[in-house]
Amino acid sequence: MVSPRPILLIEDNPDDERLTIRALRRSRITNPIQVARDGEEALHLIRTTPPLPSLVLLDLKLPKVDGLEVLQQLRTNERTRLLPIVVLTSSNEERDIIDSYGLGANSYVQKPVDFGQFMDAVSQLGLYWLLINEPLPAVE
Amino acid sequence: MPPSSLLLIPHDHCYLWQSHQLGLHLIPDALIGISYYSISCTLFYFLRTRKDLPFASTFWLFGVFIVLSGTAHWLTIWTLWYPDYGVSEAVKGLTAVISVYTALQLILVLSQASGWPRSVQLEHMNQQLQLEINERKQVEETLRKLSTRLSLALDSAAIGIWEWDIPQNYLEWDDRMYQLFDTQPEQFNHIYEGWANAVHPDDRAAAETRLQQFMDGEQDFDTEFRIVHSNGNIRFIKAHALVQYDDQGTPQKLIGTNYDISALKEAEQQLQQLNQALEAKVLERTAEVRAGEAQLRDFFDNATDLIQSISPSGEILFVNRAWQETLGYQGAELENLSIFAIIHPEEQAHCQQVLEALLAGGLVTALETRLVTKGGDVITVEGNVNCRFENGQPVATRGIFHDITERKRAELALRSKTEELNRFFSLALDLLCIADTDGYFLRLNRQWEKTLGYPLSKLEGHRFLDYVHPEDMQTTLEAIARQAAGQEVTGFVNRYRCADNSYRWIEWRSTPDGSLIYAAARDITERKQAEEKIRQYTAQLEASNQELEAFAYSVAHDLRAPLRAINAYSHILLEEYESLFDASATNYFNRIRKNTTQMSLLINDLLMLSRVSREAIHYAPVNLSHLADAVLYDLQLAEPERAVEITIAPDIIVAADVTLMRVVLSNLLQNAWKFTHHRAIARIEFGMLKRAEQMVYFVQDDGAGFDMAYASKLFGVFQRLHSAQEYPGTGIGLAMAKRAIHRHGGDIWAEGAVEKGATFYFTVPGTAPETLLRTGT
Repeated sequence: MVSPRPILLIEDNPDDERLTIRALRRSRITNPIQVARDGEEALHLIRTTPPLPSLVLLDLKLPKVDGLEVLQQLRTNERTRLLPIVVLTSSNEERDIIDSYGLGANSYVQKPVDFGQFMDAVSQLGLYWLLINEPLPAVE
Repeated sequence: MPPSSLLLIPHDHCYLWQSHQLGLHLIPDALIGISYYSISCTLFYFLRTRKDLPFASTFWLFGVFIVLSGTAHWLTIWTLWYPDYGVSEAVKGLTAVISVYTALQLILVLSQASGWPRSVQLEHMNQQLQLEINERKQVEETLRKLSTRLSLALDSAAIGIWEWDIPQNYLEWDDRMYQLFDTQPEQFNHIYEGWANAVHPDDRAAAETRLQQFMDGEQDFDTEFRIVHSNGNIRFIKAHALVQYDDQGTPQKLIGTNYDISALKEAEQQLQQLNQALEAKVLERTAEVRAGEAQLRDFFDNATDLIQSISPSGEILFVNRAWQETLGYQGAELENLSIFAIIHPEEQAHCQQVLEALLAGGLVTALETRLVTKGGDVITVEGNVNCRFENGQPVATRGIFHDITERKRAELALRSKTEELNRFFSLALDLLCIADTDGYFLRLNRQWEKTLGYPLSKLEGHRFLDYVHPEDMQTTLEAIARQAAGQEVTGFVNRYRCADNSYRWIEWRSTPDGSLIYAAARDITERKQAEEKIRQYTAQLEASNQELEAFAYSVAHDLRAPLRAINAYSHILLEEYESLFDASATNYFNRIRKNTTQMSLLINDLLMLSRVSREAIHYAPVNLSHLADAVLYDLQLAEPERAVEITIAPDIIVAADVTLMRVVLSNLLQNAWKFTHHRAIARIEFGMLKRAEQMVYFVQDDGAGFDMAYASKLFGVFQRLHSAQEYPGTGIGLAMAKRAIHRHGGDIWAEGAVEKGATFYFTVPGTAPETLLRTGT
């Protein structure tokens, strides 16, 4: 089996980063996890490090380049246009939801405060996007 | 035998043949010869010319004698050279004979001559003769003149002269008579019948009778009769005559005149005809005049104007019917009535002046005055008066007047109305304006001075576009164009420059009328400024809101994250180090986690509350029944085991923001759901009713209810009347509902009793409250 493509986690909060990774691992998702702590780093990572991630978990409030900005950039780039991107954020503001979908996010998930719920959500996300969902055939 | 030359001097020896002797002999002879010839020639000539000379023979003799004598002398000369003495002698002899004879004659004649008058007598006789001749000449002259004149007269008058010798019956006519009777002298028979037959048969008898009477001495012959020419022409003849009687008194001769009066007669006839025609015309004309008069009379009497004639001293001479009827004076009352008795007291002086002016020669004057009728009413009349003059003296005034009392009244009413309108125009606090579509202010009221600071004289008649703010020029022109096309313009706003060069906002309502524009305007500068302020406030509010939104967003994100961390690590700690923790520790961690959850809820609620407060309202028809149904459906879905009797009044539609209404209903219905938890079968109702002309909507439940004493606390933020153990919740629900309802301008209140349920009422007014002057908010 080809080595599984990584999951890209774009998250500036270290706690949230740890918890998300923990949740993923607890769900027995073994894909390598790349972490970018701001938008700029994220874009750089995607552009320079092949292969493309199989899933992007994107927080909205990011330093330097904002999450929505990242989303837009990814979507306008031919290479990353069809990349599965899940917005994972504390906010449940309508504005954010509309903008995210508008810019082409595949999914929008509010991070629950309750950890148990958080774990469930991440687990389901991972399982769904990595196992159930049919990924785009690898190009490069 | 003639004497021989012996006796005679030989020629050439005559006179010694000396030249001077010769000369002395020759020259006188020559001269005499010449003279004698000359004399005789003259004589002969004289005789020839004057053939009637008396004693002509004597003269002839003399002539001959002189000729012969002359000839003798010539011969004398001749014989000086030529000896033709025989001739000379013969001649001489002849001469002698003649001379003797002549002498004898002369003696005879002269003897007669003594009987002749002497020259002096002759002279005298001559003179007499001359005088007579002169006289005669004068008489002749006079006669000639008279004759000429007579001829001329007769000719020009075409008067013919006739003479009738009665005994001989010889009628003599002159040329003119022939002309008159159109006959020739040759054709005339010179008898009485010659005339009589020419007379027209109808007139003949009368003419002859007259003639007879005349001759009998009874009448003058002065008649007229017609004659008939041979060619049938009829002419009128007038005849006069004189009669000459003999010693016995028998008429001998008639002399008379005839002249042609045909033209006269014709003229007479024409004249007669004309006269007749004239008479007829006169009759006609008289009839017309009568009719005209009748018409005028009718007109005069029936005229509605007051017609009057006044004497110079003011007495009424006559008045027409209208006058009498209007002023009330009739018939006898008018006699001796002075016009001044009728003129209104206040007008007396003026009318007096007018009358004086008229009488002094003023011709026509227009007059308006008041009169008092017999019944005491005052009428106002207006009219013209003029004066009739005879020989320079005023005789009477003539006046025609019109009763203008009504008109005056109407004028007064109109004036007061106009004044009223003018006052209104002047005093109105709005800016009233009349302009034209060419861009000129025509008339403005006083307010404009106050508003713009210019005197009206600087505005009226000027182009209003000169005062319009440059940025508003285009729109102003468009507005004018619309009005030129006949459209009204309302709510149009532009800026006008004031005297101090500031600009004021003017709002217009105007309507066109042909090329004029009638407008009312308001100075909305204050309002604009207020609007501006509001806009600023609104902008600030917007900014505030933006900040709040950002803040809320931050809150959402930044507060939740740490909470999540706390929650998570607590969880992890429990999970991974549960062996290290006893029940107490576990409990603490659980509490930590619960608190974080609680805080999360609070954050959520706060966010929601802030959203309700700040999010824009979009009004639309909202079906509250559907909303309620959806909320309750979700609640039932979440707790399918609950038995709830739901009543929702159908088709409750309000104009509101759907999101906010959802918040309201969610909260109210969730509360109802929550607080009926302990009922076996809960009853929840959503409906509406009418209270004081207003629609009131309500959510009613039969649950826990509340003590009315605490009703005021119900809608406070985070206010609860129950503990969280009893009924979960943050206490934000009602606060949110209240805020949402208030944003619609409505009201929300509650009624309830402990364990007897609660009813929450709210209103949603029909229109948006105008708390903000923003469009489309």
